[in-house]
Amino acid sequence: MDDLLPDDIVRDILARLPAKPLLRFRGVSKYWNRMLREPCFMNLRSRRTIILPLSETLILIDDNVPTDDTPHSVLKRFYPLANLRKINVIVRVIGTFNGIVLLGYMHKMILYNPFTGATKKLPCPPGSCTRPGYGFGYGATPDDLKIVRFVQSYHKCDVYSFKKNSWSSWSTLQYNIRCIYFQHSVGTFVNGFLHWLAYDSPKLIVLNVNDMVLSEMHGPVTQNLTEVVLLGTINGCLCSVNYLDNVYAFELWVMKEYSVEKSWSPIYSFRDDLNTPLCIFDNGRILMRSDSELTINDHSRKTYKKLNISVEVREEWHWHRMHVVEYMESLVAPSDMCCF
Amino acid sequence: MSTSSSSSKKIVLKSADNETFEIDEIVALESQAIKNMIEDECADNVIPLGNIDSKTLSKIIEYCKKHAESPKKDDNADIDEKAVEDLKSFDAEFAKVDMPLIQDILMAANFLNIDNLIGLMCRTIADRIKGKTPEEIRKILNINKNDLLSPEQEAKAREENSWAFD
Repeated sequence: MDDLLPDDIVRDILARLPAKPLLRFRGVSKYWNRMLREPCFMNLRSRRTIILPLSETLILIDDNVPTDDTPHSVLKRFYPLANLRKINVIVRVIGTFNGIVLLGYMHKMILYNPFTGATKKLPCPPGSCTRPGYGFGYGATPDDLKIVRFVQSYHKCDVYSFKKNSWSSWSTLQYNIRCIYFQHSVGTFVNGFLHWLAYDSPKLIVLNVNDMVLSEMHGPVTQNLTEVVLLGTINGCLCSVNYLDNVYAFELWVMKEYSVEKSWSPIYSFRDDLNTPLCIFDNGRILMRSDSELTINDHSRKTYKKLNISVEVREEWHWHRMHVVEYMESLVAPSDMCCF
Repeated sequence: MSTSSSSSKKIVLKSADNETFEIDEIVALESQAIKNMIEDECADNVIPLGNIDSKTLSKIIEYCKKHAESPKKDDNADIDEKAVEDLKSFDAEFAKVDMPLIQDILMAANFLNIDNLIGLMCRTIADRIKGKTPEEIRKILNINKNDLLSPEQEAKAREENSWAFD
């Protein structure tokens, strides 16, 4: 062909590439090198990836790629700033904002852009604690970004404000936050609020990130005996996976109108007594795990993708505490999120 | 070219190498550009497409026919799962052609403004180039040789995203 493809078509092609070839292709030409680093190109691309912390490596799962294309659908990455992490310390993926993932190596907090590989260590929260509950989100505006850490034994909540670049604490004595289900210790961020599972399911504990007020919200109410086992978002709406004890089935629910409890609507249900849900994708698919396998299930289309990840038995001990997050690939530098 | 009933309105497309293709208007309407021409009543009986050769044009018509026949996605109607699958496998077969033809189809689809086809061709190219080296990409996509990165720029790109070069 004699003609060159027009610029917008080249963008359209490149926007469909997985992360690895995209970054490698910066070397194709000056023009490509420039274009691939434009924020507007990344917005056009708007590609989501899942980050899953195993004991030795981070796993990135790109659901846009067919699973038989293992080099592009499953990427293994070493932990960033690994010198900060003691051996065998469980890594928590606390949340994500603008393509940046917040990792917790015990009480050390790391901002990490898995797409570019850039990192930034944040100040440590005051004092250590056992079984903390974490959250990452913003209040009224995105520049009011905060990290929260609930310390049950001291009835306090530590808050890191990116604006102020400092930690502060407040007492939670006025609330009975023991009911927060801190085994799944990481909150789900929607609409200025962080959400945790409560012991008396199907209730949820809700934190208003703007003014740091805790409240309760009702999860989906069904006729069956049900327990909320996982929270997430679908199309930006809060959603939950419920387990129906008496029939060994899961149900996916979406809160169509935020904080309107009546708007909880069932999406679908599926029987499964072998697998546990790990993460709800924004497109409604669910990452499930069995003893040694991971699958991505699309129950509305009844398709199941087995992922080519072998999980060693010794990973098993930390499966039940694992928090898996879906982030948007971006060029945002972790250092740009801090005002220091 | 056309196989459907004679009662429907026909449109004639003429390729760069002067081959004519008579198709149903409904097939031609898959092209937003032709649709606009028809709506603005500036389409003559014969629409000349001076930058599309007959090989490319016949592929494009094959695509538009299939897509015009398929039930459209409609919020109110239940989409027939089988029809969706059928269209998907048609698209997969359709894209099994060599790279130069893919690019010709893409250029033509861009000119005729056929969104789905542009998407299909872009996806196909992305799929085929993702395993290639920058050198191979330059050949496949005819990248201007005067626009290469300096060794320093190349080293910087590698350093900034070293994980992608493992």
